[in-house]
Amino acid sequence: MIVLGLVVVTVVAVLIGVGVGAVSFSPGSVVAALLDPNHPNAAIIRQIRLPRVVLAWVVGGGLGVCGASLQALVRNPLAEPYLLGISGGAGLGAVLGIALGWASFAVPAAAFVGALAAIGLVYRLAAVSGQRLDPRVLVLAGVVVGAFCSAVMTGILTLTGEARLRDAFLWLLGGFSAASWPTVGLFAAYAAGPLAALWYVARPLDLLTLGDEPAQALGIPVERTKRIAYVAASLLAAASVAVAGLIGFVGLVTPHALRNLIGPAHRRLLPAVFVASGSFLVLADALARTVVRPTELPVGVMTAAVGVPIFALLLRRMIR
Amino acid sequence: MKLTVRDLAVSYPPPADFALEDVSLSVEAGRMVAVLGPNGSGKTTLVRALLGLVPIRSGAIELDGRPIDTWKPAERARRIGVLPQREETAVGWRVHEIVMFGRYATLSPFAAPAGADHAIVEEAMRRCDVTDLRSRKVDTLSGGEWQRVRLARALAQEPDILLLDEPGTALDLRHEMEIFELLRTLVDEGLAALVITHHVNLAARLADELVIVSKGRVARRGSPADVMEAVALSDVFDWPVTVEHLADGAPQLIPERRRGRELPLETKPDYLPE
Repeated sequence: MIVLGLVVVTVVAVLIGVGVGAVSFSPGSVVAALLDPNHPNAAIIRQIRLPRVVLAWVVGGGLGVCGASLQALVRNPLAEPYLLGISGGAGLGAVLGIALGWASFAVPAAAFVGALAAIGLVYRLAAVSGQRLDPRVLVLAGVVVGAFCSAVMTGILTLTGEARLRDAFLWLLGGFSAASWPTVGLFAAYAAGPLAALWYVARPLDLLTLGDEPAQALGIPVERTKRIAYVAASLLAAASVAVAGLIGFVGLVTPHALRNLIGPAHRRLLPAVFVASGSFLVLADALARTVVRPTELPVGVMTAAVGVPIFALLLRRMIR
Repeated sequence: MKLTVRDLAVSYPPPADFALEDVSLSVEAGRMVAVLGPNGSGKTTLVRALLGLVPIRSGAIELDGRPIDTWKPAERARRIGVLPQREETAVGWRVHEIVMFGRYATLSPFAAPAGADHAIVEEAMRRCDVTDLRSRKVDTLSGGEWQRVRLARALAQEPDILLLDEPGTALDLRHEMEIFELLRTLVDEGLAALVITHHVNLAARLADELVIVSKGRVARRGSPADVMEAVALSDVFDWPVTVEHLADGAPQLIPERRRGRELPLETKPDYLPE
């Protein structure tokens, strides 16, 4: 049932995602253009819309899996790249690159380096409290590093000229307008490793939700599992931010919704979260392109607009 | 199968001052050993050391003659089933899933639980009388039910040794007795059990050996009849106690009421008569 539901949601999301935009196509002509390279709409659908949709799907999936894993790791349902300072570091890196007038292809690299630096800093801060990745310390260190990054970012933005300021803001709010097949390939090749690593520790993550001591007692190498999960989730988040900017809520909304539907076992949860988060972001991107056509809204605006009400509903169900 | 602790010393970096010094004990098949002692005496540190969570300064912890830290976590989990004292409320999990966690140490990374694993889980749930709860979410269980589920999880590890940290805490009389009676039955069937508990009298009735820990050291160790001695226990627990005997001969500790001059406190409140 769940699998069928996820497949249907994905197909619908992709058809909508490819179909809507400055020029809209019916689902029929989308399918026709996908099957026939000589179809009159083949060029726009295959070379512009489809890579954008596929990129949104894999980035969304990556963000969702990242959120779900971090939530298990720090035993905190609020965990996502924002909370752990990863997004802050990436944002700072990108803003710095834009402010310095770097070429646009260098900005994702700067974001990636910024994210890695933030991850390293958070990890160091957490390690100061002892050798172990204590969830509480990790969250505190993440919040501190995130706040520090946004402070520096604000400082840089204040000193930046108007044209670059706009670029920086658009980048920060995220989007897929620059999507191309090479970007998709790069991201997919890169994300495969962290995703496989998280799949590998999926079952130990189940035990980590009970706490370190019970997990250790039940026979998993606690420190190694945490390190693998933390590094893999962080790399995944860094790559997502690098190709699509800062996109919040994806890693928060779908893991919660799916935990209610299929339970917290990560062997099932992580793949389901990947598919659902991907579809969620594809739909959010489609909305971002259409609500105030022809202007395109940053996709981060849409995920927030859709994410907050959904989250409120989930919260109410959870607390009740 | 034997778990031996020999001359164990554990120390934490300052400012933490709780530690262990010269602690020796052992537990083997068919024996229940109870570790007793006041708060802060080092009982929990001992459990953490047995789990390999705190570094050992000197001495040794050996499982079957092999140092515990040379056992891989999964290997160890197949021999020792643990009921930790602290555990997060596992929101969203169902009872049978929690009990299946006991099998994780035996599963290869990508394999799903096999029929045999499910059979072991069912048997463990039956032993702990939680079969009827199998599909309940664990966050809806009462304290007694949750404790039985966790014991079932430890049994699903199919261990040779059970290590239990305060298994009766927060349980009412019936549930506490049920847990301890079940433990005794399991031990009589051939399991070894090391129980850390506050419940001196229950331990004196059910355990084969008592180990009294005080200020990080073993104050007394032996059969309940040997260990339960009023003067020594008064000293350990820092409160005057007497020891009486039940009809079956089991020694029981009775704390005295505070009375004027016998007041055990070093400084008497000034509202009490001289």
